[in-house]
Amino acid sequence: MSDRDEKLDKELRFHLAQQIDAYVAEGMTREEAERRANLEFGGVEQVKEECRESRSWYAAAAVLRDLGYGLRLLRRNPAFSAVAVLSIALGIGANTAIFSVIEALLLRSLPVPHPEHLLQLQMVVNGRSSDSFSYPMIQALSERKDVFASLGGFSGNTYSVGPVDVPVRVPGSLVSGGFFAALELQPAAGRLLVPEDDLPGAALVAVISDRYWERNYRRDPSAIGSALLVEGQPTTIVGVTPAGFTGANVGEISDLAMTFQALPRLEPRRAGLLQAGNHFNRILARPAPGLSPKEVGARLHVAWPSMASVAVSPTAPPERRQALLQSTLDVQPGGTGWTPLRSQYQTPLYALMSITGLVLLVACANVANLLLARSSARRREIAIRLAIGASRGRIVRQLLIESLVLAGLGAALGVALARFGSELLLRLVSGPQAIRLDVGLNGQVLAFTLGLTVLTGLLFGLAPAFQATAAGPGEALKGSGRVVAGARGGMTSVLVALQTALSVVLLIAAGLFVRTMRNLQAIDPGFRHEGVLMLDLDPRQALRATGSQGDARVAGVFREGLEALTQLSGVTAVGLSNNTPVSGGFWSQQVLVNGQRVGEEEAPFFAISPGFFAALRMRLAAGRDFTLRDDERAPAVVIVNEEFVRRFIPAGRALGQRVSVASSRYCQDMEIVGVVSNAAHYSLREPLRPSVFVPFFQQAPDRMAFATFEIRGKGSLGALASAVETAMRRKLPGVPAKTRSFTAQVENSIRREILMAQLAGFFGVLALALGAIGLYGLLSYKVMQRTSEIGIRMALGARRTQVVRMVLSGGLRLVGIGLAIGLPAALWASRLVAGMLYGLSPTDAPTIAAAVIVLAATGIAAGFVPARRASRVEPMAALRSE
Amino acid sequence: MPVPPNSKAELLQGTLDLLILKTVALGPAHGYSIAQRIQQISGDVLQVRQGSLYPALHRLEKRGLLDAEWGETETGREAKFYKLSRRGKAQLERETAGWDQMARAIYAVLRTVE
Repeated sequence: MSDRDEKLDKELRFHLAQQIDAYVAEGMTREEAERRANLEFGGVEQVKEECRESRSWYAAAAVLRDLGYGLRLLRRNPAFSAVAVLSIALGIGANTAIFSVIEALLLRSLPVPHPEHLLQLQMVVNGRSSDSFSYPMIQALSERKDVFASLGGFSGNTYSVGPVDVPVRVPGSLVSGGFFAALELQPAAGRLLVPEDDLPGAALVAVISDRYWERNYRRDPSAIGSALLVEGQPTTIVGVTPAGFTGANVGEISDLAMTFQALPRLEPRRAGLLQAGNHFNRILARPAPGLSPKEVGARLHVAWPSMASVAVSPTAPPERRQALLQSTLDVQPGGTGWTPLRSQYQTPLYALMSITGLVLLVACANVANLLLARSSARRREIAIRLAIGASRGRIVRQLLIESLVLAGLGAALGVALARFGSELLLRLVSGPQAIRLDVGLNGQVLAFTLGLTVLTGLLFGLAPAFQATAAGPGEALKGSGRVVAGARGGMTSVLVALQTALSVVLLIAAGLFVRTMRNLQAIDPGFRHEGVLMLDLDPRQALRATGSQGDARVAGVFREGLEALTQLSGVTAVGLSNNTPVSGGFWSQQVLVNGQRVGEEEAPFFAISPGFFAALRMRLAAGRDFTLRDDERAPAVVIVNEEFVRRFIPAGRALGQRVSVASSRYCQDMEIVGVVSNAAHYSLREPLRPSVFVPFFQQAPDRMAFATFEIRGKGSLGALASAVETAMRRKLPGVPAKTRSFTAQVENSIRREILMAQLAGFFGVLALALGAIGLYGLLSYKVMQRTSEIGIRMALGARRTQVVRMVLSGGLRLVGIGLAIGLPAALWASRLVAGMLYGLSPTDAPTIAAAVIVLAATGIAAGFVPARRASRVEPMAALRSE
Repeated sequence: MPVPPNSKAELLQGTLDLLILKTVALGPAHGYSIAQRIQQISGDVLQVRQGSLYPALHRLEKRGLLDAEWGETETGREAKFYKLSRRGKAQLERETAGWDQMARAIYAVLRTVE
């Protein structure tokens, strides 16, 4: 007995003694007085119990006791526990997985001081908003101290580090001199980059990340000040960024940061990137002291027009020049850094989050149903506890704690599932280019999951708990307990109808996304990607590996590659191009036909070798294909697509006409020698555009930077891949030769839609299965409950088919109610995802009809087993058992 | 007033607390004498059950409205004496005022109905 309990005991005994004394004083005998006093005092233990309850630690102990009791109960019903925990685990796991990706991609702040003050700049040209800026714009804007306290531009960049013969590719970034000041970062060692480092002719200096310092220098302080070969140029490491910071591009790692002005000395070939017109950088800034983000925006609106000329490249055509001069700048919160994935995946991720939220609701309804079923089994236990004096609140607390135990177990399992789920989701989202993002558990995600768990536990526990205690001890103890049973059926029916409603919403969503994917997959891109392999080649890497240098050899490397691949057995066609269709990358130009400007739109350009059309099975409508003799010494020639002819050369013969690129010294006065069938260029979803094909080997060597072979072969793709890779490794040793499938690239371009279709489909089926379990459970219970009634009906002459119909119609009525609620909800919700659909409207009738049919069929299937059981009731047996 | 049945204890809980605070305000007292005083002062109308009294005392002590210490009674028994804390005094004044207002209001209503 604890000290406090002893004291309590003493206090109460004192009271009794006083009372006994008083009665003795009134003239009672001692025994009589004791008996009377004890009687009046009532249950000493109960008083003690209530006194203890007022202590907080005691309440905690009571909760712990309830917890233990709950766990014991779960262990005693393994089947019930497994189903309930699994439903909750799937629901919570899915939500946690999606939330952790949302947190990492959309919500997580950069590890810098006061990320909430950071602003990201946006440029609006011709009504189109973009995050990208040229280096001259960054320079001009960082001078505006009246608007920005600090401003930095940055872009991802990969550096070749180490000796020239065995360089290592290090992911890094190019930053402006104001970048680190804008982020207000403090170096972990040495110093960070400053504006003086970003001047032409400044010494080559670099800042490394903490993890690079750790990995390559074991945190040796002497790394600061040491030299590093970057692109073969000696560069001094001046400092280390703080641990945890790996650049402002979310999902990319930057281990090495250098200033923009280092670029011309590292790679003279790319020096032009720093000129106006090359918008490849993002800008983060902090407002000048005292300015709100709104005021910064207002000042920018005023200041920008007079500065806009820095954005204009001297070679820009007049329309572009005009558009840039009339552009406007905007600011938006920038504390979460930059990633192109955000604009792409924000809506899909929130749509998925809504879907998994609904799935969790369906799971909750299921578990609530299970609990209701169990609480009718526990009716007697609860009634006895109520009868011996437990308060209703006490029992509700007990039942709720049991629900929370269930939810907690589900959540624990769900979190384990979410670890795989979020990694998988991130891989699906990021596609071939790997995203480096930590989607593990952190404080934010755990808080979300914990909140969700408590909410879930209360959601599915509250109704059953109140229902279980509603009858009071008398009713429940009386035996048959029809009242309670009836009420249980009622609440379960509501839950089943709700599940059906949610399922129909989820099924329609799944249908819309699956049909969107199908529609996109059914698009004829105008070329055949099946059976085609692609192989990327960086000629300079190849030359470096063979020890030779110089642009003169570049074309030779490509020619040799083309020849080697063509001779490979099993290969039927080989092409080479600087750009592949539907790759996401593009090259487009304004064109002149016979010196005349045609249209405003830029035309997509591809530099291709002979064999490209054959490899992609594109059809020549007129004229000829390129040959290997169409090189830099031969007359300039060009092939255009049929759309080009239709739009730009409506009358007369296309062949022989002359095409030039406007405002460029390249690709001038090319004669049209062929017309090719139309095909998709950048993406499957784009409308047809006039496209231009120029001979690959007619390009200036300095423009042959990086190209891709397209290889079509007979037999399996895997065998072709290993043959191609072996041949290339023999031909160009030391160069990575990794093939990829063209089909994968095309599918990658609709990755987002495939992702939505797969996940929405998965969750739709899951919800349907959970709903079917709920309906099955309800109907089974009802059949069991009505066994004697069914027996009487059959004794009175009802046929088995009538019984089956009776049970089924009961189930289908609930499905009908669910549909009546779910369909309008689905119509409302589908408008929100209209932007993510392709080739169908959000109210697509076939999709809705299919969802209704699937749901009705599932309802009939779920009801069939109980209905058949009902029809097999033996009237006499049923009546006798009553 | 008869002994309140358990189901209405919640409704009367505030009232009992108020009565305890008032009784203890007259001077430190142990549980038994508090019950006695309430009964005497109310002219035997209000009887406080031990089952309500001690939980209330412990609750008030935990809320810091009562201070408690062990002492000896005139008969030489060890007993736990409760006295009003400063916060308890303030609470008593607030609740008394509130009660007065409520009582006047109820009385006014009842009279007009008559």
